[in-house]
Amino acid sequence: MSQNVVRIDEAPLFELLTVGSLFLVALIGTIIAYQAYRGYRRNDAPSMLYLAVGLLLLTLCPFLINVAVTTLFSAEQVITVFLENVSRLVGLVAIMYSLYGQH
Amino acid sequence: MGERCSVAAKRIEFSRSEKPDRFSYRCRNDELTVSEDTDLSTVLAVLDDEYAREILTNTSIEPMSASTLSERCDASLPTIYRRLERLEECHLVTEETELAPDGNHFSVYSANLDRLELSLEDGSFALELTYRDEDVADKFTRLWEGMR
Repeated sequence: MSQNVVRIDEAPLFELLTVGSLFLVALIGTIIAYQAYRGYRRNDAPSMLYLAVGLLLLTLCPFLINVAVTTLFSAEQVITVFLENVSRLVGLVAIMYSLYGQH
Repeated sequence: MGERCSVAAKRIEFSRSEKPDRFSYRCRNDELTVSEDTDLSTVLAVLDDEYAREILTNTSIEPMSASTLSERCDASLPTIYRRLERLEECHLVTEETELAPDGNHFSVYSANLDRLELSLEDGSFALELTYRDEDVADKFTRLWEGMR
């Protein structure tokens, strides 16, 4: 693993941009999800809870999965991308349920 | 909460010509989608009530539940609920649900009126109702629930 460590000052530009944009997506997504969660608490609207969960799975979770999997397991990139996409898929299902579900 | 402090203006125009005794109005700014059945006489009739005004003054300081309002205004609960309903119809008061420590839900009300301006110019009344800005989370909820 040690030979694969990328120093931040030597990292290719697009790798840095990818991590940066993923971080921004996670940050902004979390802010919107937080407002949705507040909407759920203030208005007692369950659909807003599912929306908040969906937004987190769509934005924050892929970022966390990316960081966790690459640092802890040093897994192949295909696996990381697969897990990220599973998280996004579940997130979209949660938002679908928020829109169309009976609650 | 800081978000409550800013204001959003909404201008409602009345013209006498169309309906002689029911003022019609037009929304200039649909930033706040206020239901289209608030008219001048309704707003004035709601405000022409001591309890309704007391509810507004009390809830402008902090959000209050109906039972607290009943104590503060020295009025019965049904009286308070009737006033709150009329105030809510005109969007002068907003309702929020809070969770009590015992797990029950209860509603608190807060005043939503900032300024009311009635002007007469060129043969028509213009009523400018300035509301306090709606909380982002509530606006978001209203929009999302509207899509469902």
